Amino acid sequence: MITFFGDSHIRRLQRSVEELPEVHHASYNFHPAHGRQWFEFSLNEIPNGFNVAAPEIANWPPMNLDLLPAGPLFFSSLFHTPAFLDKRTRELYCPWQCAELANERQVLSTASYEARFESQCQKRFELLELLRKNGFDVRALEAPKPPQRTPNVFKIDPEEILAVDGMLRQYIKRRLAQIEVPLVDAPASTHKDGFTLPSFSARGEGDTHHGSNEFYHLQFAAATDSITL
Amino acid sequence: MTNPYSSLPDRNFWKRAVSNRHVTELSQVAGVIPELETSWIATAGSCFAQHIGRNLRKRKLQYMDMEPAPHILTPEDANKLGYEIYSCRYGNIYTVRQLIQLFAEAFGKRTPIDPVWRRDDERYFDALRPGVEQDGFGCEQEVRTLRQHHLQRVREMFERLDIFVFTLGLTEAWEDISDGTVFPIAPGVIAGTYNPERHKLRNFRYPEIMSDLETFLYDLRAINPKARMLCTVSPVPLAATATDQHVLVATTWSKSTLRAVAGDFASSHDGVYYFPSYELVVGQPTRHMYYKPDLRNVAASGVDEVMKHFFSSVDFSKLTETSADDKGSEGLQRGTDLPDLSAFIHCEEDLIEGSTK
Repeated sequence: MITFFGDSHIRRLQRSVEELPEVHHASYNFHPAHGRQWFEFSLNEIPNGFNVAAPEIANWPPMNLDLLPAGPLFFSSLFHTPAFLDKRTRELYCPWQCAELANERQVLSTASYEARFESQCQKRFELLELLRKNGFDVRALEAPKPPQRTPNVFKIDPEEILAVDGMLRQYIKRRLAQIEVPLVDAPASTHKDGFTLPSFSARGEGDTHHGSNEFYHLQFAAATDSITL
Repeated sequence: MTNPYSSLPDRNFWKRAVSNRHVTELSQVAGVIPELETSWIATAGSCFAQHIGRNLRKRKLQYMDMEPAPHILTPEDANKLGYEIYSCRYGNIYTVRQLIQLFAEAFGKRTPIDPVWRRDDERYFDALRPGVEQDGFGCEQEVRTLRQHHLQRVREMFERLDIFVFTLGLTEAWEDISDGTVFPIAPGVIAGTYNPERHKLRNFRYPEIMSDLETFLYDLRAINPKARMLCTVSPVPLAATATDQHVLVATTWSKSTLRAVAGDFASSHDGVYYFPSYELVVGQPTRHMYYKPDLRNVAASGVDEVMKHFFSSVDFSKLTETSADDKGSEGLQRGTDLPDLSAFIHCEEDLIEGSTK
């Protein structure tokens, strides 16, 4: 059994995988609700293992580690857009790489952004490390990252997206290496420097965020290849 | 029969003002700093100055924070990255020469030749504030970009402040003789490469320090005529000396020089004051009990005692309702409640000894 946890990207992955006639669906589990909020959860020790809970988030299903299926566990959404892109943050701060766009905003260093990434992703890293130390075959899966985030939702200068998301990508890769969790990178042909190429970015009109079916087909292949390796 | 001492108050007599009092009962040690309650105050200087800034915030005076900690950082991370230590993120300014160089650079009158130091692990440091980001920066361009942004905020601070509190810390400094740039720490301690042909020890003497202070005040008032200045001397001894003297002797020489300059400078200028933080920690009444066991760092009780005197003349009922809007900048804000990080004092000097092992 191969299990995928994540957010709407995992839902997209699931749908695109369902299109593939050769895939034996019974072998795959998809949990798209374990997504963007999972930095909020708590790790609680229970008699036979650990329980992961986020009681303040209504749609977050508890995850009992003892009930997790055997086999590889893929976690997506680590590279996703955390709250550092909230409106207040964008209005107050500017990454140093695009200081010329700062105007009155405070220009921040890479270390400042990384401190923020760590405080937001610390729980995720803890969970992945805990799973690995408990014998699970745990892997991280990189979601598509188009430079045009979601234009209808976020009005962010693309240069700033490139700067902040670029720092985030590098940071997460470094941290995953530290906790010895393998990463299934976005397929090489789909991105340049971590940002999804236009041909793999669009799901449809108005959604340049979730990536194309072709992206997910390639990503799924990369994920399954990583297991056989 | 009268004599010149007949009409003097008790505070002028050692026996009445010092011998017969517990150290915590000393009074009228510091002079009054006019309009402290309604002034916008900025701080800089050596390690001990960090306490003054924190207490100005804590007591909700109009403390200037031109590079405030981003709300996305935890208080601990912000402190580690050099926020909320001084009014701008310049780190410790140990010598007056450093101060006038910062001022000149902020107003475009000076460009240091070697402002970026590299460490062996490919991390880069701002040579003029190497302790601000303790792990350094990822590339030279990041250092330069952030320094330009920092200098812009420094410029605004000098243009707008009412009172500049400066704590004199050291007479010894390391200079790049190619352009005279003085660094807060010797090259090679945190980063950079020490080159004996290029980097020389400077042990500033009284006339040089006085001249530097005069220059600074002149330049400051040229762009901000209303600016006043409050000088203090750090009671923290030298972590190390690069002279051929014993560190105890070097400390006494250094602190005596700074104390003499600060007193003369204050008494020679209107709108310049001296606050005796040095005497309140080092003076006989304390019997050195305000030092931690290392006899260098000042214990919290000592800091509290100094601050008690600092604020003794402040009429807190006069604290105005002025806000950032009155000054037209979000960087100017009345002190806010901050977590107690007083135990975390940044001191690049502390790193010297470790770097020799």
